[in-house]
Amino acid sequence: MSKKNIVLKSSNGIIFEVEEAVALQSETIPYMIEDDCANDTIPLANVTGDILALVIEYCKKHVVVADGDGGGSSSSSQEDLKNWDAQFMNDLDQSKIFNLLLAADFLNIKTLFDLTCQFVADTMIKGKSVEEVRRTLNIEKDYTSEEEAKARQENEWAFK
Amino acid sequence: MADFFSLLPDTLIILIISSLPFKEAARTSVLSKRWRRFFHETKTVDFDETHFIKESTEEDQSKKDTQRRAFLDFLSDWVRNSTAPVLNKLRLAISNPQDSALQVNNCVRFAVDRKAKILELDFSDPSWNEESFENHDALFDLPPSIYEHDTLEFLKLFSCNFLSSGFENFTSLKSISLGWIELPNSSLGSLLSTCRFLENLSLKKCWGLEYVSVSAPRLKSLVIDKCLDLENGVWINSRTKLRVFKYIGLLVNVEIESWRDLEEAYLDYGLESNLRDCGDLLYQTLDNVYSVRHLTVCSYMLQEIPSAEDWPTMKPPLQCLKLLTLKTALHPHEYHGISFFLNSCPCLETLTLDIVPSKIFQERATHLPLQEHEFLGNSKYVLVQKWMKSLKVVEVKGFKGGVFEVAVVGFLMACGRGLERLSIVLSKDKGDPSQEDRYRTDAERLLRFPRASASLRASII
Repeated sequence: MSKKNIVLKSSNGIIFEVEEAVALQSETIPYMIEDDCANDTIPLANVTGDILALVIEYCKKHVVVADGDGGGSSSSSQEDLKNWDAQFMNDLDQSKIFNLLLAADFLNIKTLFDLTCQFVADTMIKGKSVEEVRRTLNIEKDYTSEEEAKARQENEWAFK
Repeated sequence: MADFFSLLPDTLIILIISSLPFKEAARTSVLSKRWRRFFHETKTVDFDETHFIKESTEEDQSKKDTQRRAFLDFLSDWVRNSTAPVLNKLRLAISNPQDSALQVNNCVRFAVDRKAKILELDFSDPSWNEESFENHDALFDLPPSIYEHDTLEFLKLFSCNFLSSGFENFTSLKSISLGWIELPNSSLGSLLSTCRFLENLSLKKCWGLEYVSVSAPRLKSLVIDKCLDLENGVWINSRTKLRVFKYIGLLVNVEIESWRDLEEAYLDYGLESNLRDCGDLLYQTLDNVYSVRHLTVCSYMLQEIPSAEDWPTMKPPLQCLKLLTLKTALHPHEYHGISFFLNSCPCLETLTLDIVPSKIFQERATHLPLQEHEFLGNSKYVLVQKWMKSLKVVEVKGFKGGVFEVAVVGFLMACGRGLERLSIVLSKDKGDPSQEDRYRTDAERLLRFPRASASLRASII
């Protein structure tokens, strides 16, 4: 049985052809198909080719194989997937991570979005001092020292 | 480098903050003016008294009272000022809730209004001892407003009375966790029949049960943690296609009729205070979890299993088992038990030795001489076993070195022909950091031992 393919086009014109089941993990793409946004090719104006490649890599790995077994992935593949996810995120630099977050949001791929959010929270904020977080995320300190002291005081319990 | 966060819309930053623990989220309010308001929009809320009240027995009561008042003020302010339209999770952990009923009720009301999918109410006292046989009456009734919450997915109630008939409205409820409460078997039964969509059930320190009998077609995971009066054991009927079974407590009879569906089992009898020649009961329990892929057993199991009549291996062997976790002290009294499990798992791929403080009993369950055991003796007498070929990964957690730990890991290295990876995580002693050097020296010495596998990669962490 032949599988239906969907053609995606990145903002910089790179074409990706993927199986329908892979693309449909995005809740945005079905609307684009229904809206007849494009006849054959779905243009994704917000996603560059390198990021779209990552999204597709993720979706291919997470495609639910609907075999005759009655569905439902076993705990073994769950564990493997978790390890794969961790490795996948670990290999990305900060700029890729942020663009991936935006792409997952735009394409509405909930699991990828949650994974990326959690990764940002765990690796760039959690367990770090205020100064470290500012440095990691390049956030400009726009408080005066008095204002910062006041903000700290408001949530004093969190700094103990 | 660009400030990536400045390019993100507020809604996304709020979701990132919602992925943080509440305390960490609170700290982000100090980052910049823009970030200050995000904290009040986080969807993950955790009001925990212990964040405010520092545990110390000598401290005077008035100081504790002041800290508690600060906690309650913070809670009330936060509930009033929160701008999150919906919550993902709300947790409230407070002891003696009856003294602050108004705040507690407001907080629950808030969780219901904001449709928190996960609600955790923990009214247990941090000073209660989990391992003690003492029971505590719940001091608070679940506020009635909660029963209107029809989108609730996860409910945890510790030391909190509830009406199981009210659970009828919880049509989305998939997980229930109950703890520190009197739970007669009739209540558990009516809870299970009311919550027909329940997938996960966890019971911790529940008392008055006598036995656990489960018939729930959708239930996938069952955890029974230190429920110490289950004289008549655990019975899971054939309609319940359980995938995960976790039991911590005293040794009781466990019967799982639908054992074919079980994928993971965790059996910890660490609360037993003496060996009682019950190897057959353990053997029978293992037979009941025959189909699992991942099995975790405790030191008590390792010490007691040699008293089973069908010792020295499971018949038939545990064919499906790929991951085995042993919570062990790697003491010689456990050696026969460790061999039992290795030799009963012909398809074992990953072995985790989780080295934890364990009760080691003076007497032994077998009269087999220890000095001839394969871990200590001469390896030329070792019989070839199937696991030696199938085992790929050995993880040792909490390694402290010493003769007995080294003997076991050395044996695995000498016999594991298929071993690909050995990782040794050194014990992190809080008391004395200089100990870690000693552990490391022993681990390094161990890695120079003979290896049966040429492709083994070993690491010390």
